[in-house]
Amino acid sequence: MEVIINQQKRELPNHVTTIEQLREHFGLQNTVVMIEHNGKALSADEQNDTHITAGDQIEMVRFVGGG
Amino acid sequence: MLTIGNYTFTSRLLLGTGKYPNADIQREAVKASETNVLTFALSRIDLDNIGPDPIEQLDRNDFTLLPNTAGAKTAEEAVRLARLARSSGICDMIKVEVIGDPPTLLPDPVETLKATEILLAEGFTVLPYLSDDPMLALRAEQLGAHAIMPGASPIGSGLGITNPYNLQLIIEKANVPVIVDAGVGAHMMRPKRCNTERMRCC
Repeated sequence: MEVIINQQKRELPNHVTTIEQLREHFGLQNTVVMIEHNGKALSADEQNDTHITAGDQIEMVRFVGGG
Repeated sequence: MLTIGNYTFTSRLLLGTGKYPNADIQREAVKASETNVLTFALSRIDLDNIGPDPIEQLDRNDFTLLPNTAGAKTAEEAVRLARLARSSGICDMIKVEVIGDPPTLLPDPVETLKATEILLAEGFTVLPYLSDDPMLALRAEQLGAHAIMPGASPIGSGLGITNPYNLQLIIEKANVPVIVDAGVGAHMMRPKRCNTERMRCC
């Protein structure tokens, strides 16, 4: 399935069908990651329940040093 | 003591988390500062090169996080970043930063106030980063901003307080905390150029 993550097209393996699985796919299951799915910021609970479909637009961001 | 919205802090210093040479020095600096609040930005994760997570290097239980909306050029973008930050579930304070002039990083006052109003309505604790304009600060407070963050001078300039008279007016008129932000410069430079302690800003 092809989706757009952080403005880049990416092909996801068939077993990745939820946002939670997407985090695991990138090894980000134990870090604070903020996710926007098709324009909506997802809470942690929503991340667990949200399904991914082809063509979805996903942003994955995190906190970085700043002032 | 410093009270911002529903938060009370024992330190009046808010500390940035950028530009440390390594995590050990950052940890030591944070400890030495005795701050209760650490500021962060948000950034897209480079999924092809995921490095260490900056906030995992700190004991988050010891601090309140203050994310900013750096990178936003419009109110809409700032609101989007703020919502993302809050979706982390670990903070509801937001420093609204909307840059109007990229070369100087000066804030766009109209977009900043617009974003401030939207985020206040959504229940955020909002700290807008503004230029050192007393009327602008007053307008932000009238909207309900929980603190005002006037810039001492352009971000990263290190020029110190370029207009102490304006800043004094902001402090005298404000009924919310005034947190001088940006351009203050390294601590060793401050006595030459400004005196934020004497002015009683945070």
